[in-house]
Amino acid sequence: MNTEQHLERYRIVGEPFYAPQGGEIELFEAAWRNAIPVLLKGPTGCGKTRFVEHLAWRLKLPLVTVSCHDDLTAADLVGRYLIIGGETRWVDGPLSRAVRAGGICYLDEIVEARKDTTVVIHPLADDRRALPIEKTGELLRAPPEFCLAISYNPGYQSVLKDLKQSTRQRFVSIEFTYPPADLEADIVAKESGLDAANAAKLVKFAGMTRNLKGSGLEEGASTRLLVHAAKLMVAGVAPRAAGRAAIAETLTDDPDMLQAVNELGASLF
Amino acid sequence: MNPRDIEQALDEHLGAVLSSRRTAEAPARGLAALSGKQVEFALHWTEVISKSNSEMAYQFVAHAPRALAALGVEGTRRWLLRALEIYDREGLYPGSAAFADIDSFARERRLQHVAVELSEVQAVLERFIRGLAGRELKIATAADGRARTDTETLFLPPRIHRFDRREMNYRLYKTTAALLWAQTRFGTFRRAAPDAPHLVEHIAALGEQVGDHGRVLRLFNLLETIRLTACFERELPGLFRDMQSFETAAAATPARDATWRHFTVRLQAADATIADTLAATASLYPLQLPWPAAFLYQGELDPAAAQAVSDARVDSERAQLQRLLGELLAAAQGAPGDGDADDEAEQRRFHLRDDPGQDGGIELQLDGEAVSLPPEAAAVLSSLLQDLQQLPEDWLTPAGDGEYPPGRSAEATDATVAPADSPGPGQDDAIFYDEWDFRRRSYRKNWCALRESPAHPLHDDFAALTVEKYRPLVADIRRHFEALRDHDKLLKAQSGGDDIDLDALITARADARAGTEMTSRVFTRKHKAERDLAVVFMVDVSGSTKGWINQAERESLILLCEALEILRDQYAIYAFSGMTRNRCEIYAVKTFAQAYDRDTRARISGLRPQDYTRMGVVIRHLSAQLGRVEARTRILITLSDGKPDDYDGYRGDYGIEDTRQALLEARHAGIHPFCITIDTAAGDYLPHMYGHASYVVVDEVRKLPLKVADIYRRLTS
Repeated sequence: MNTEQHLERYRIVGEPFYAPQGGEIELFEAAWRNAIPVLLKGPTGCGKTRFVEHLAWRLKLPLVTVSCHDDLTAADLVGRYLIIGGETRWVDGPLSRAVRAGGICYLDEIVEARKDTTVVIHPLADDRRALPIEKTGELLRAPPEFCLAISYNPGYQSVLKDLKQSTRQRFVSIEFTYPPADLEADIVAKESGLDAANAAKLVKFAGMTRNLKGSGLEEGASTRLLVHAAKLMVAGVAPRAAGRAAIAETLTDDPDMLQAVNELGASLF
Repeated sequence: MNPRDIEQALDEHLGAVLSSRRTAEAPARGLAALSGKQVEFALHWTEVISKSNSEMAYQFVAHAPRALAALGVEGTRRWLLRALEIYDREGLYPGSAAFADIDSFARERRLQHVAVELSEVQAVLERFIRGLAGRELKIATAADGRARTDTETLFLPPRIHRFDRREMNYRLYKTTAALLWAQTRFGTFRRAAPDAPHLVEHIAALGEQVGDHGRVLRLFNLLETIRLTACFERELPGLFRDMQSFETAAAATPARDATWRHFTVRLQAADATIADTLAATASLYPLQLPWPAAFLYQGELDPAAAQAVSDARVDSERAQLQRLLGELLAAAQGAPGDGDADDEAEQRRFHLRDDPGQDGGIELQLDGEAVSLPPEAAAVLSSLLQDLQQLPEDWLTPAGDGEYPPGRSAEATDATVAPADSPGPGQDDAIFYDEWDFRRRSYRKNWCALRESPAHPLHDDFAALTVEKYRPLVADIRRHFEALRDHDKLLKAQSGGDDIDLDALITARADARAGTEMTSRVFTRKHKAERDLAVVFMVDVSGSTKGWINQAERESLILLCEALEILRDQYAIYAFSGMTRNRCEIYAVKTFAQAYDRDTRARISGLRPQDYTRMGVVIRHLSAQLGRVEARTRILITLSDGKPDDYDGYRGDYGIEDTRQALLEARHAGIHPFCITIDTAAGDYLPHMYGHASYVVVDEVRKLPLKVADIYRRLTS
């Protein structure tokens, strides 16, 4: 098995840009050192995934990210038999691979996955730190470096998709929000190369859309959307057009809301 | 045609009103300058009009050249038809006057295309203003056309047709609303402390000191607009540019005056406040300088209304803040009722600190440590700080879990919904739900008492008759719904999957041995049925459904159940009605657990019109029911015949806003609300409540049974 070689590809080479908001880096490191899994909470596009990438780089660990979706089964995580050249051969799934190599396994939007997946992560997430592989009869013991991180957006998911207490109480939770305005402007400027003045305007625009959350908008513009808009602007798209394409149209289809959001953008640029 | 021929033709038509002093020569000369086609047009109509009245015909032909030049042929035709209409209705004099007044006709015609009505833009402006932030503001029509604000509502004129371009008129609406917003946001009505005088008092004092009160207010408004416009220049340059686009040279004259300029510069500084505007007013007023023209987008100031509204709001928000701080403190100290905690509470202090790091940021501290504010408290606090520069320390004293703050104004609802008979929790089997009061922008706690009971069954042959009556349709529905059916199944011989399909593998190996190519389709895969949905039907059985509507609703339910049984979707049916918030009734026709059997059919048959339609509480109750069902998609379908309406003031905006809020809550909980209505006026309010794509109007009651099952099919496929 060439898992180790394979995992080299999951190492993060350059430092991913991440601007800390509080003590979240120290918190994560402490949890990791004590072999406690981590739950990242927060709205979409506020930097959860980037945070994990940054930590994988800091801790020099390979990072296996799985974006969960509603067809993701336990077998997709753990692994399955494949027929190769007339023989059946076991192939590890992303979770088993990360356990074997002692890396970070990051399950993004965990509540989107099918329910049987949470059962798989339970023994990994408490002090057993083991992954039983039913089909091969193997019991994988996680090395100390292994880290399980999951993310979850408490904002818009339905009650049913709420994370069960039996699951969430195994984790240390770190809450993410949109960064404070000046920090967010810095992030937008760094990520996109946009000048500081326009980045600040974009952040202000995002604040306006966040004011509309709950009165017609499901979610305000995330930092990620701002970076998109900023990149378009750097590429020469006029600010209003960039705001329209990257922010307004992305947030809503409702014509009144769309026009209002566009007007908000236009009032700034 | 030469003038002579034209004159001859006119003589023929107008003979009766011509004399030696009034010949056809002048009009003929006018017509001669026109193109042949236009002359033909004019002569044709002169002849037609002369059949009614020769004087009208003369008036027409006298004005026709100018009309043709201003309005074109089509416009001229409308103009002359309208003049004839007026002649028919009001007589010769108004009729000929209508011919003379080409200009106003032309203007009106133009306006039809370029005027912007408030009703068209209100929804956009409301969201726009809310996005700009600060306190939530409503937009209402100013019947007298005077744009102004009382710090809670922006009053805007019903239409704007100032410019002959639609876009500019819209821009004027937007900037006018924005400036009124800025008055509330950038402190036009803000006071230093609760006991400081209001703007209205400042203006009155100034008026007494230097002269005419009305003129003082006018100057103050002008100077304040200069200050606020500078705020726009700094904060919202896009809007500032829009404002600039109206400005002409008009403002230039007095700006050259050094004194005027001195004050203007002061007002435009970033730290200028209302005190500077007042000072500038006091200094400039006596100087007798000519004032520049008012800004186009500047509304009027109504400081008296602002005072009244602000006083009431400050009082209620202060109580609300203290209550919320009490809750916050209780939460910070753990379980309430703890004896020690009470002692401690008296020593702990809240303190407010301006957070310079953030734009308008405020930080609340508890014993020197920053507290993160729940959104409701943050909103109240920031609203208070919009009214007052500083809050007295004792306003930050937390109150116990006190009463709900009293309403700010004695409005109809508050008067009719007497708090005396407020439902005490735990009387009987009633469940209590909050209700949204859009005027307070908060919930009335445990406001509605809802009781659920089984619907009264009526064992008759209604269901059988309905199926018989719609037999062809039922067959059709069955066929369509069959096609949607789906099951969990194990798919074999797949190219990828969870497990190995041994049968397929053996065949494949055998094939390989025999020398043919080995297939890679050797896996099994679980296919999970996609139709994993639960639906609740919420049927309006208010008094207004009496007769045909009730019959149609019951028939629809029977057909629907027949269809849903085929699909095996999980479904439940509830009917609702009630009278006042203390008696909201909901009747279970079929719960999720119950089967569609004889009894269910009897309960459908037994549905009869009851009282009123209080929708919010029912939506909240059924959303909770839906939340407990396991399904990937959850749908709440309302069958209704009109607006929410209840006996105790639950109507108009109040009812609509509460219903909308309940639907927003449902959406938030992952439920898709949908409405099927037979109210043909539903286009006015349903988009606001349900959203544009989430309702259907069935325009004929009789068609309801034919449509409902089909709508459901389209909705879920």
